[in-house]
Amino acid sequence: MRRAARGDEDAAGAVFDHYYPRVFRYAIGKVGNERDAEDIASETFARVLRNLDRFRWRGGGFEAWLFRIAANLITDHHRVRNREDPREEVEPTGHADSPETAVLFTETSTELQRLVAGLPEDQKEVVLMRFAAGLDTNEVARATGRNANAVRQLQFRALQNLRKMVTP
Amino acid sequence: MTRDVSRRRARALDDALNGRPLEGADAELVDVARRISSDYELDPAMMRRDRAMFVSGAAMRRSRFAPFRMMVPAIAVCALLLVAAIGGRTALPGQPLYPVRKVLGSVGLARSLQAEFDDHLHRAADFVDHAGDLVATDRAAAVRDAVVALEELGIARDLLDDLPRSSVAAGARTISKLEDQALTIIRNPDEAVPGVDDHGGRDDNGGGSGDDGTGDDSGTSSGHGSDDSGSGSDGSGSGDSDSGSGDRSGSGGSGSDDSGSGTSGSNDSGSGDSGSGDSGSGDSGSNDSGSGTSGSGDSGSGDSGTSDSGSSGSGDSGTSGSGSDDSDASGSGSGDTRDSISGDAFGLDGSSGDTGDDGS
Repeated sequence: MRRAARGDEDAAGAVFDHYYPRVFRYAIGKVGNERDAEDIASETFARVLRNLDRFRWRGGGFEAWLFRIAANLITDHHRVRNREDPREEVEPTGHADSPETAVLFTETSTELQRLVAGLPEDQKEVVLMRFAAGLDTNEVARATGRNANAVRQLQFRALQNLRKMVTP
Repeated sequence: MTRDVSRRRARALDDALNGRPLEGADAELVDVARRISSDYELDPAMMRRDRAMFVSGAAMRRSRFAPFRMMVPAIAVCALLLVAAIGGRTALPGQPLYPVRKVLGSVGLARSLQAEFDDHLHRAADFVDHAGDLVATDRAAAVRDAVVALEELGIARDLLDDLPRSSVAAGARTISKLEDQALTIIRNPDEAVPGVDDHGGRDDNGGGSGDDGTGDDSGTSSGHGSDDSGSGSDGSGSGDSDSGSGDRSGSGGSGSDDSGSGTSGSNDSGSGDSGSGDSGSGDSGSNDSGSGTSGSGDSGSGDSGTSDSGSSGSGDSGTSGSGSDDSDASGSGSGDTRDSISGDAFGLDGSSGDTGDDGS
């Protein structure tokens, strides 16, 4: 990452290959469609480039920093969409089969993605970071500002909920 | 209790998700998690485009920021050097930038320390002179000038350590003399007032005794103040000239030198003159002694010339009278111009020289 920050193209490519899919998966889990997820992932990496000088290379917190940027962009994205169409509930907090959530997810979304989107927000955040983006428990804790035990609990409850939905 | 169980199960699940054995974790939950992981796909074509943008953006950082990173420290260093050079050019000993000034001076980018030293010394001498002029009329102003002179001398003394070794001894002597004069004005201004102070008194004494010795020319000398007053005389012709030369050389130590001449004048003006005049000037250098000699030599005008040598003082003075005085006056005059720094400070030069004139 430091080499990428100094302008090393190969290192920058490696960083992108490693993190972009994770950010994209996390974003698609949050916004529900590829187009918006791609925009958010692209903007996330653009901000990384712009702000690399401000990032402090201590303790390997790059993942947490990266996903905080992505999370902020997703929040902004929801806010803009709410302004554009107040009837559209873009940050679902209910279950996947609610009509609001169904609006968000396109036909290409899988059933499981719909179910995840229907989780309570804090559980969905943890599940997406943990299983869509591939962060470990501590990285999720840093990115969300929670402690590791809280992340484990949320993860446990989220998976229990999903199991119930998958096998009623 | 329930909370602890829940926490344990959550940890066991997390361990299982991280690849460890299940050990009580719910296998179904692990399976759900795996299905989620594999459920989020990414279109590689979409990723390629964003990848190209990111990599080119990173490369631009290198080309864009490298010169900037070089320029900032370079400008900072240049600015620091400039500030140090500007501030250091006039730094004095004890100031943080003084070492910079020494370096700059060594390469000709700052005034030499010798020139700086000379400046402070001359300024100090000017203030001492001025203080000497004022001491009779405005004592407070005289003391102020003397204090300023001491400050200048302090700076000069600080610079002394960094002067060439050949200049140090002479510089130290000059500083000491000027300091003595300034301190005299500050501590005991009465001593520094022309016409009242000891120097004049001593001269008078010398003159007086000279008079006694000779008696001949006594009327001549009355001219100026106490210096002259005593010396009515002349053996005194030559006696006066001594004091004149003594004054010239005076500068600090000169006062006593002068008085010495007075005393010697009493012994016999001729010899006293030359002897004391020379010795007085000896303080401030060879020039003084030269003038002293010439003064006395002149004063001899034949007679007192011999009296300079000291042997025939009284005899000379007895004979001499006016001729010698004239020459004394000229002698002292020239001496004054050369050694004005110290002599003027006490205002003694003129008086003695004038006395010679009066005698003539």
